[in-house]
Amino acid sequence: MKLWHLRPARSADLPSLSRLLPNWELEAAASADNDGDDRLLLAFPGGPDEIATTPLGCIRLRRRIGLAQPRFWFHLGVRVHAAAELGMFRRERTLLLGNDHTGAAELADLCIDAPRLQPAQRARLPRLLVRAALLLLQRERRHPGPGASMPRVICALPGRRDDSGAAPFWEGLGRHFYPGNVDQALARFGELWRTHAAALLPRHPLVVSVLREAAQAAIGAIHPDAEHLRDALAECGLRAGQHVDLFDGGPVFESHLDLIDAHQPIAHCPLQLRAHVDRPAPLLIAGESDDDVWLVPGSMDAAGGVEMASATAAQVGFTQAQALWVTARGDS
Amino acid sequence: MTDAIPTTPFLLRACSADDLPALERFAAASPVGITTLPHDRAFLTDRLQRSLHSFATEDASGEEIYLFALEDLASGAVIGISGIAARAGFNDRFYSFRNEFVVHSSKPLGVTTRIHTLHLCHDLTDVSLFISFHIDPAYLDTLAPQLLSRARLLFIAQHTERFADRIAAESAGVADDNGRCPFWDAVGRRFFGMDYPTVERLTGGRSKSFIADLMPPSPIYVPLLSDEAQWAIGQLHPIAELPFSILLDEGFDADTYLDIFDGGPTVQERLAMLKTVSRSRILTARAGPTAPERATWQLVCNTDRQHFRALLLPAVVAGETLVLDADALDRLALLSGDRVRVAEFDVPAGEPR
Repeated sequence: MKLWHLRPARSADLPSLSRLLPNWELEAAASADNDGDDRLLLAFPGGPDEIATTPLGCIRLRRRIGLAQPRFWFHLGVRVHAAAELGMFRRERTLLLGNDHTGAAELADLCIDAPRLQPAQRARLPRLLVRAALLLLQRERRHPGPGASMPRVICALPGRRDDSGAAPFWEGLGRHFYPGNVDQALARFGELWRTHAAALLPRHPLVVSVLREAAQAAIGAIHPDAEHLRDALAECGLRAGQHVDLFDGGPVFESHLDLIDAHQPIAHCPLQLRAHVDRPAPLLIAGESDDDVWLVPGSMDAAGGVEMASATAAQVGFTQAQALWVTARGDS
Repeated sequence: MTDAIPTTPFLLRACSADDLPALERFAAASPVGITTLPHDRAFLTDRLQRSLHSFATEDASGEEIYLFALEDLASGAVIGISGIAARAGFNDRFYSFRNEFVVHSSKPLGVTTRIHTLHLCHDLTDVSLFISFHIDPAYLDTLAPQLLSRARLLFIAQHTERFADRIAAESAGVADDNGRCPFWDAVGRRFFGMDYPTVERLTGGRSKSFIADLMPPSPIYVPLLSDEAQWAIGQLHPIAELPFSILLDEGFDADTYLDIFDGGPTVQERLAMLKTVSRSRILTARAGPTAPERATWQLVCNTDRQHFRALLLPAVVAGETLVLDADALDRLALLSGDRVRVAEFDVPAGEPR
């Protein structure tokens, strides 16, 4: 079984990130060096001795979103129009701009270096990245520090694009209110461009049926490239909620951390070193405080401890009796 | 004035019970969008009875409807119909869209946009409402439409206790001969789920509470509508152009409200601000010879409610006296010495005929 190491990005990683992230995100990746609220986790195959310097995937974990700059999503609701005297009963979908997920944690920027991955890995790595980020949130919830995030996590999935790369949802809605070039705004402001654009968007509920059909059809639709991410989120208990992205209309998956715990139970237990572990299974493990996560072979014992081969522990730097956060639902 | 005074062969009077055939004739010729005269004999009979009662009653409650008939005196034919509803939406709300503009701004993006929105509102509830303007097309190029429309203001000015201090009037919006209406297709159809002629038949007005049940309470953002629907906002059906121009000349505001169904402009203004009302005054009618060189065009009506009559004619105003010939006095059902309400009329270019 192959080891995987996930750790926060550092400035030194910037040159190797260009394969994963667009240019405008690289700066954000570097500036997040010491910001625990905004972690870009990089996934490296193998242990430290393998000197893997180029990550094969990444995921951003934001612990408390929208507190410094407001974040916006469209809430997808329903309004019933009923007129008894005409015998009419009509349901209308509505979109309302709001900041509903403020304070939640967010998974974002999930990228994998697909050309360097085996086909099977292309499905597994997103799962690993999602599970690792969630493990850190689950750990934090057990030992909440000051300013802990609310017990919710969201992840906006990329939405539908047409053949030219344009987002039909934006073309049918946002463009009428911000006619500027979105790529340029994105390059200049990064994700913050959505906050700036939201100032130009309607503040009152919009009736969906007023939008042109392509825009309506894009509401909640997922880009085909994001299917692995969707599956990974679904396995961990995240589901499409009632919000969509204000640019491409992609669905915002969401879950309460209680539900994440049900899908991915975690244990806080001391490490028991063994010369040999029978039938090792992939375990996803984090230490007490830092944001490094390991995927290593080991097993959970009946007493609630975690067992690991001494050689493996030495490889990743764990020691006997060290307290670890473990989930047995790691994905190799 | 020239030495030959053109006679005005038109008389506006309160509708009588004999006017039902004329009402039916105009209702049959109404395009979709003129909601106050559906082609339905029972409805028209009821409406006429209601008008007769309104003119007659001393106990005005606000639900009165006053219908007027315009006669071609040469033939005796009724060539036009117009009316006033004392209170729009009486006993219920009267719905309109109000034009509003919101300015959105993002400093970082360097963008400021002015967005046109339509708000469903009840602002015009309980104002007095001009209704049922219909005229025989053969008379469009005469002064007949002027008398048919403006004499209503003289009636209101004479009987102000029966009306609100604000007047509104709907104008038919854009619709084709089949009743297809781009504004309705883009807005109302989404909420009512039926075509425009059907909803016209079902609703017959803007005062039904189910409108609120079906229409969205939040504003409609105009940029999201189809180009065709955007273009139709505030546009007139060709049949409405002449009566609309008369209302604009009176000083009505046409920029604030729209009809919720066809997007045609709903004009409104304070009564006192309207030209005919502000110019109108009470004079004493005197029989006398007309003096062409001193005559000016005047809208004239008697002060009677039930036997209301009005003319548009050249006449001499001398101090507090209006000099009228015997024919005019007779048509107005006046005797020399009676009081009349008079408002000077600006003859449109190319008129009169």
